[in-house]
Amino acid sequence: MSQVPELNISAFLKQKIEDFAVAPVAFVKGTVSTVGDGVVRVSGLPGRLYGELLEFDGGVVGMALDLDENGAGAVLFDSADVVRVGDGVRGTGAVAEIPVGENVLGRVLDPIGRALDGAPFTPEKFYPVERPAPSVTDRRPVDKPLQTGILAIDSMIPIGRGQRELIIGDRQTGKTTIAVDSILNQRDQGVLCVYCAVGQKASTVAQVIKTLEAGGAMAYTTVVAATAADSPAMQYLAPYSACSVAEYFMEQGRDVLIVYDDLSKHAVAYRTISLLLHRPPGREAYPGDVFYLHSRLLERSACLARRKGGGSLTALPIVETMENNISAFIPTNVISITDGQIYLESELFHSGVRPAVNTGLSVSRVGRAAQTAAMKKVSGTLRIDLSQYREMAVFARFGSDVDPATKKLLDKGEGLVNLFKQGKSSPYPLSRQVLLLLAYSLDLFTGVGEKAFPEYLARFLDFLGEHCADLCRIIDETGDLPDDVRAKAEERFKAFGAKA
Amino acid sequence: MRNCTVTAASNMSGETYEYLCEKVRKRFGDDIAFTRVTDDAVIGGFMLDLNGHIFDLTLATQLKAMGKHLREE
Repeated sequence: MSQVPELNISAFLKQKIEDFAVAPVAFVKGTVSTVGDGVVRVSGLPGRLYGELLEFDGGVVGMALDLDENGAGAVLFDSADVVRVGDGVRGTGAVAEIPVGENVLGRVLDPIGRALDGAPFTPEKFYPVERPAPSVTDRRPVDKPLQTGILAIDSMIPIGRGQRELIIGDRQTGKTTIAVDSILNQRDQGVLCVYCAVGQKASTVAQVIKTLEAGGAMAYTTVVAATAADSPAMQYLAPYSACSVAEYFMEQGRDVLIVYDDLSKHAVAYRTISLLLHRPPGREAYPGDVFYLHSRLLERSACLARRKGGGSLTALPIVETMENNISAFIPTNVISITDGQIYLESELFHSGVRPAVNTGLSVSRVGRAAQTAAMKKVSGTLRIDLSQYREMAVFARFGSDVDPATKKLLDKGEGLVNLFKQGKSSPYPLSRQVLLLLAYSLDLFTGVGEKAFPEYLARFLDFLGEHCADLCRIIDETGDLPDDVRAKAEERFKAFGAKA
Repeated sequence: MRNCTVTAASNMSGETYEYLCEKVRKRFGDDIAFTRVTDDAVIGGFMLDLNGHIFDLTLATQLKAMGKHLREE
């Protein structure tokens, strides 16, 4: 907004009006020739841009996605009810944009920047929805961890700032919970967050917003939502819009976390548009460019070079599988684009292991390099421990007699599985994670038993709060576990072990 | 024969309308058939639609543009 001189408003307005030059508005008008399911064909209208916004007579806005010599195929952002055959269409010469800046934090926007939360909103700055990804020379390797606060993930599948880590699994396996918990854990980490809902139920999105508000996370989070009731065009645009919001902060040198919930519904929305535009269908009826649809989106996540401000954009795309089939078209595409995946299994989920992370199929390709020294020191053998336990547990099922060494391995493994069970919205800070894993390595959780475990763990966490606050501070501040701190912790744990 | 629709508010006199048609014929050729549309929403001025090519000099559009200009820095 302009700065209005305090006492001279009329002179200011007069000057502004004098500066205004009356000029005729000349443009070419097209005509709607067909309308159907949010997609229209327009005849006439030469010289349009790909992705240009079109304005229809009723005030509805659409986007040109198919251009040919006779006209254009366009998708509508709003209801198609008010567009009729024969209506006039004009090109706006502008592409889709979204408001960016500090004032979008805490807001709920739709993909074209209209506020959905009912409060007044004055956009300050706009970014185009489609933007090129940072070039190779503008990037640097991922070197800082992004703490999700989830022990199983931060220890075994660590995520670095600037990484793209896929969360994949069947419905009702806790995918959104992991993403939302990761956002909640960024409260004191200086990371801004964007949650993008694509094709979700409005009630689910409302629930997520409620959880974020309750956890005090809306202060640093923007929600970009295109629900299942919105047009396919809005759902198609949502992730790109959300990414532009996040990119603005990244370019200011900030660290940003973006969650795309979820990309399988995004692919379905794009398939709908493509089929209605008569583009040839390919595998599973998806169009030929469905890989590019997600690769160009996820390539926009980056860890920028210092000379570019050093900001980062970490992406947690979510993909829903059917019947645990991760070799379907969209899952394999997104797995190959991302730098690793967190695979959630419904069997684990229903057996009480939550988060239901399958550690065998989950992997993080770059996060290990970004892990803190403290975490590296205590998490080295976890994956092997867990796989040995699972292998042994299968054999132990057949017979009751096992030798003492195997019994100890089974008890220790069970302790680890129980330790990895973590409630909703209860992230652990780094120091707690490190001390919990240190306690595990000292066999403090061995032989506790599944039923007694939650109470035992609660007591241990209280003990950490009361007797290890000084050690926690050192670990959180330095990100390291020096030998003297480790020795002190081991000493104090012995006292806890003796009491227990 | 080309079609030209002239949209104007009801306050445009017949004399002005004829003058306008004459000017358009002079500029774009004699093979133009005119249709007059009255729409008070344009407030004043006129809009020409010559086979899809729009020439908009209505008061409503100018006011909209001025509103945008006033909001700009």
